[in-house]
This record gives sequence, structure tokens and C-alpha cells, in this order.
Amino acid sequence: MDSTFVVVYRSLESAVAADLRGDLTKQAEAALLENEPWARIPASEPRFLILNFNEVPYINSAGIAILIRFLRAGRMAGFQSFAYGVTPHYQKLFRMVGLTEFMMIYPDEYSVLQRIES
Amino acid sequence: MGASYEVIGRWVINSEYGQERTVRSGVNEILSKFNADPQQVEDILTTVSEACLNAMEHGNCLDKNRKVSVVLMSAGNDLVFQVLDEGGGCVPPAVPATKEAKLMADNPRGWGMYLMSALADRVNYRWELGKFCVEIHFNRK
Repeated sequence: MDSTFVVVYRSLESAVAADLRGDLTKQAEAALLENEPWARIPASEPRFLILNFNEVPYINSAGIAILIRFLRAGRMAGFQSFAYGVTPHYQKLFRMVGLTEFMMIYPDEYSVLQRIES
Repeated sequence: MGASYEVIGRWVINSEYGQERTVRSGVNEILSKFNADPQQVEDILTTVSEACLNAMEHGNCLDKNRKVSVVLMSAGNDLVFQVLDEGGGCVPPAVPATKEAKLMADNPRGWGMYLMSALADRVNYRWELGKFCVEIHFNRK
């Protein structure tokens, strides 16, 4: 019944972008946690991760827990994380659980890149 | 509950991940007829989804043969959801973990009850006719 979750990584000049697609639930665990980008990015490359939530229609508490683990691992690997395309409701939930400690939310990819490159 | 409540929705789902979306969709359809506040609708959908997930996972231990029942009732501005499982229920801890503790735990789970309490106006837990019941109240905006 869940919309299958996939992550598609894109290399940008100053960051790695992750396009998230599908429901962010327990079923997203493998897609997010077994294919982390940290090990694939040389230490000399920029350590910024941009998460695109535009195609994530549903997030539940299990998905939030997985996201916390993912972002914590990113921080341990020296990455600073950003997000865009998060609906106002899910922005509220992210703030409530403290996810914004690990990830700054912006309106779109352009504004994230402006922030990174400033 | 003292007022006269009218049942306006009922769902019975199997204890399988993803089944909560059936309830979510049904509740959304009913609330659309009430001209409900969109932000509150989102809060309600999240709260009810989390209650269903707790019932499936912790109450019914994801036994597909055990059902989760959801009843939606209305009286005046009060919307009440009763989510019942057929297992041991999901009783909140006497001393809930802090947000900070949850965030830094090895497995940072357990946000369902936290979100339910934060988004709803009132959440009660009790046993009813042999089933564990989570009763969630929203004052319609």
C-alpha cells in the first residue's frame, strides 16, 4: 500500500542533492540508510547535502526516526544538511521533534545553493 | 463523554504497515465536508495515522489477523477518534523520554505518542470491552 521510497543522488558543483520520492515510512529504511552518500564523496569535495522533499507525500513517525539516523550519520561524516520542498505541516513536525537541529529548511534548491555559496 | 455524540465514520483495518492510509483517506474525505481548517486537518490526519500505527505495531504486534478499529464521532465542535486494538495496547510510559533523549538515542523512535499529544487537544488511554482504546479529541477550529 505504501508508495515505494527511492533516493536519487545528484552531484552539484557545491553539494550533493538527494531527490526523495515516495512515502517516508519504515519501508524507506533500506533506501536511505543502506546507500548513504558519505563514503562515496572524497573528503576534498564539498560536504553539503540537499534533500528534496517535493515528491514525498506522506511522512510518519517511523520515517522521521529514519531521517534522524540518516542526518546524524551525515553530521558524523562532516556533512551539513539542508532541505527544501517540505510542506508547512511537515516543517512543523520536523521542528517539533528537533530535526531542524540537523537540517535547515529552505523554500527551494536555489535558495539553499545561495546559502551554501555565500 | 457527556454530550450526545454522532458516529460519522468507522474503519476496520488489518495490522499491516500502510493500512493506516485507508483511515487517513477516509477521515480526509469526511473532514472535507465539514469545511475544516486545512492546518487542523493535517494535524488530525497525522494524529490518527500515528494512533493507528501504534495500535498495529505495539497493540496488535503486526499480527495481520488482529484488527484495528477506528470510530470518528462528532458533537458540536468536538471531534473524537477512538482507535482500538485487539492486543495489549500501547500505554504511554509514566515518565516519557525527553525530546533530547529521543533525538540522541541509538534508535530514535517513539515519536508517535509525542506527536499525538502535541497535535491533539486531548488524548486518553483506557481499556474498553476487552480492547485497548486511544481516544483523541479535537476542538474544531
